[in-house]
Amino acid sequence: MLGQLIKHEFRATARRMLPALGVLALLGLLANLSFRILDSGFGGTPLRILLVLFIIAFFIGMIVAWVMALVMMISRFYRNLLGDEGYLMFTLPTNTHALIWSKLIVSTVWFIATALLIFLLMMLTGANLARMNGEDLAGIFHSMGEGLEFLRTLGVTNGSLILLGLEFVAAVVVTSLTTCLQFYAAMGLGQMSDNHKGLWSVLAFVGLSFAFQFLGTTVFAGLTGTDTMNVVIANLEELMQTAPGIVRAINAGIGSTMLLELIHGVILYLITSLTLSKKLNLA
Amino acid sequence: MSAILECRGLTKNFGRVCALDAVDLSIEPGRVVGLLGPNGSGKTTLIKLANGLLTPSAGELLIAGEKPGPASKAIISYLPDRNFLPDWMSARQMLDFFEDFYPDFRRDKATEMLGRLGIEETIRFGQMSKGTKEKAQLILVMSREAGLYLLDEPIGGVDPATRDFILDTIIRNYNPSASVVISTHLIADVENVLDEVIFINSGRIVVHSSVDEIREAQGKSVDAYFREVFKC
Repeated sequence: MLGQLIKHEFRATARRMLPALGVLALLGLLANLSFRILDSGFGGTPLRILLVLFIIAFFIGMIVAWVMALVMMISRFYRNLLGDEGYLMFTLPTNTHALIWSKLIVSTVWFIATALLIFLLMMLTGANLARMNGEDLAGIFHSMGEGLEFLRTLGVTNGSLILLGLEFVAAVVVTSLTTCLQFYAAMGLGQMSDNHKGLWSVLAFVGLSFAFQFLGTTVFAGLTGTDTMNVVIANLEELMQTAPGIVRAINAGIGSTMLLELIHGVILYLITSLTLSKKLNLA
Repeated sequence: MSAILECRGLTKNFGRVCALDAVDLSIEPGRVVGLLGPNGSGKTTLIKLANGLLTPSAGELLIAGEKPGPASKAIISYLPDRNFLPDWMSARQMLDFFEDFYPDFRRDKATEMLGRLGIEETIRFGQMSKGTKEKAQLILVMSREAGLYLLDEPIGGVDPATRDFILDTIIRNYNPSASVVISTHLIADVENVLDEVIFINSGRIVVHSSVDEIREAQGKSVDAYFREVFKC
């Protein structure tokens, strides 16, 4: 049933996100073309103004694509589950977990797709600008390879670099899921109210953000100065003496941050699933 | 025969307002039941509770012996009192959706009914008129071989011709071994298709009887009896 929900969620969201990402890609290509034409000195003032506008539109487009992915994530949950469409979705022969996960997975895929497209377009722009400055693209990759080789000579293993890459990917996924859940949990709490569900959702969002920040700060303050914390700091200082140690420290840093984010996400997921399964209150 | 829908002391409060007050009710399979009451009497609340869209404040509600959940939702075919389909969905996508989620959905039946109404599969829900939307939703709901049909105000706010079409569609297409609950306050229109009626007022069941018993005991139609019971 989850597979079917994901299929229909993609069908509902792709009609907005695919054209948006397509337009962004087009703007990226136009912006790069504009850089080239401007660099060549071709054309008069009107054309040059138009080319500059293309470049500005590309940078605005990147922000708009992000905002759109975020708004899509929020509006799909609110309209499809807590609005009139919820009368269909919550009467499907499936459980609340499948409904939540279908939204989480599809939103995360769009976040990652947007991030990947922006990354690729930025890389393209970087390479384009580098070539315009007379730098050879092959030379840039060669320098990057040399940098990696240098790290290896310092004792940094391929394994720790691969682990770093995997941790980065996992961190992106976990952060995306937790971001969605922060909104979902707030809307789940807000819908419990009989009136002003939207307003209560906003208040719940602010309340949850404050509660988690307060909790985090309190725990950190409580640990500061303890023996455990002193040992951790001493170990980190020792690790930072060598290149492999620095990579290991980064590994450990991302890993522990991700673990905390995961706990944060689990709490938010529980709030979302409990409010929607035990306290559902469709208007 | 075990009840398809059973309520025991079912209570639902919205803040200080009591929408359902300790309702005890049992509906047997194979019956067409009118859930009749004035606006705000608790009809929609009862149906939403049966669908798991609301949670009871007290008491319990069972569908074929089970609390509302995926198992009960698999046997209930529900028509809400509002448009529940997204505007962007085409008729074909609606059929895909129902076919994907309900194993008891008869696509051929739905396609045939949509075709008879001249609703093309490419037309989007948002492009349909109000009456056509009501018909399209009803066709989807009645094309399931469900165990219990819960129809909330299916004839409210539509013209008399559409009303006839809707009632005809319900009676021609429901699974004969299933029960149909029709919530409405337009009694005269539905009276002839009902086996039994439930009068609900201020969250309480005031009458639960077969249509024949009312006609025999009261010597009047259900509509006339309803007007007498709910006289302002």
